[in-house]
Amino acid sequence: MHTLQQMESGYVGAVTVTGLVIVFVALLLLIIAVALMNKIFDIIEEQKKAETEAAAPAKAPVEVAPAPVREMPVIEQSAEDDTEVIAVIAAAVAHIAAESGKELKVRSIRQTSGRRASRGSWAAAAVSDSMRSVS
Amino acid sequence: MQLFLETIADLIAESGLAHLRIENIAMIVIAFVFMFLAIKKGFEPLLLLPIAFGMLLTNLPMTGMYHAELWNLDSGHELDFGRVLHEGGLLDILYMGVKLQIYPSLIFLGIGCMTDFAPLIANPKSFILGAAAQAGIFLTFIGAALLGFNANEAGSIAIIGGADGPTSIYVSSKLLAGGGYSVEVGTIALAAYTYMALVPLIQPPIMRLLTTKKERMVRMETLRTVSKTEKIIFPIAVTVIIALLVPSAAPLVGMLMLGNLFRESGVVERLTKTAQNELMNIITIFLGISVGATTVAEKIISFAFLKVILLGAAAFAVGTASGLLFGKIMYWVTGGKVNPLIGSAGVSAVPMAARQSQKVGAEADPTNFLLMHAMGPNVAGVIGSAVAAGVLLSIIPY
Repeated sequence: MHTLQQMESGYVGAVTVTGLVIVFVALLLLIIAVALMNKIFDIIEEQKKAETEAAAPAKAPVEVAPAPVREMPVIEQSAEDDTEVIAVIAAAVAHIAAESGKELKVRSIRQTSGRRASRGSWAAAAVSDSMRSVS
Repeated sequence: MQLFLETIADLIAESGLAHLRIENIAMIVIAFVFMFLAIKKGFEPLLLLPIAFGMLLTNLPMTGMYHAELWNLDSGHELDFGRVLHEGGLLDILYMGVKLQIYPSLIFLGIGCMTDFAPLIANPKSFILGAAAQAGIFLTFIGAALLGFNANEAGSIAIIGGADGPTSIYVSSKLLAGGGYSVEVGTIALAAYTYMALVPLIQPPIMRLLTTKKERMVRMETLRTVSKTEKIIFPIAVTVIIALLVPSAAPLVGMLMLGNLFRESGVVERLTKTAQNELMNIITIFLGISVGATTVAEKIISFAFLKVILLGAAAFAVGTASGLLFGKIMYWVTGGKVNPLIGSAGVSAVPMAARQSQKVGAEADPTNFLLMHAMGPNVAGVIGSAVAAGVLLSIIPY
């Protein structure tokens, strides 16, 4: 093949089209495979959730990490991730309270809607952290 | 006295200085330029510095470190590894790892250990963007054909558009194995790594040109958390599917996924740590200097290299543009849920392309956190460019 200096346009077209088609088809198949895997896991998650929700009481005080806390309000929607976030917030507050000697009370923890949330310095820190070069 | 003078005369005759021609001097200067870019300007130094130094070593005459004639064969001759072992210098011996496809695959192993595919698993539609950006590869193939390159050369130049160093080296070392081409593995690698370093310059203008401010301000839904089991099944599934479809992509995709499986399984931490640190570093050193060694004067100081430079820029630009355009299509189709800016991250320069999406998105809305969403297409692009590499290797005979 490398004795040919110029390629015929037919060949070039064939390579291009074939290449694009195969790449797209391969990745489309991967999309389907991953989406399927997601679906299967969602179903498994739903079943698990149904079991735990039947077992646990409807409203429960939230479990908190080691540090002593002054007072914890009851949180209505206890999705698992929220529980951990609340625990972290409470532990942080307790830590600050212990260090400064002041008495701090967590009165409410509310999730703001995503739209107009001002991300502020934490988000900025997270972004700059992720953007640090790996290599 | 006589003997002494004769010896001196011989030494002078054999010295590099005596054999220094203008091309060598030019190449040495070019090597200095790339070293400057790597060291001072931070252009992909991990690869560019060894490549530049390999270029220096190979163009200093009479060192015997690299013999182009061992690798560039006239038609009819087979690559003779025995000859390489007998007559080869240090860089020839190291180059065998490139020829035998060992280095690029092992680098992909390390990359897999460092890659987190969660953003992609959480939003598999990102695969489309990873595929779209690879259009840069195939349209560059057309461009190369129009500029008079033949199939193997055009394929090697086209893979620069994959924005992936190891993939470019993998493809070009196979396609150009026969020798007698106007481009070399070294020229391809040089172009590829230089353009990867230029992604922050190439992408943003195109991104701003092809998207409206409204589109750029789109906030995407938070990605769902991906379970550990999914992260373990993913690499296995991808390997099986891709290997069955495009077997020639299996070495790259397989090693990438193996590395990822090491990482996600959590049971082989020693292997993961080695693969992404010591092993990567060793292979990078060997790969860099031996690939750099192939950049002999005739291949760089040539009209062909100029065309390669032009085509390389086009490849990156086209890849970015087509990723963005597909991003726009997804924006329309989902009714504004997808930010088109993540489309350009399908160009698989990880994580630089994703960072550009974040950067340009932040210009429009400073509180918009696109980076994680852009990582999905970015890593999908790595898989996409490996598949494209496999396709080029299956279609073009070598």
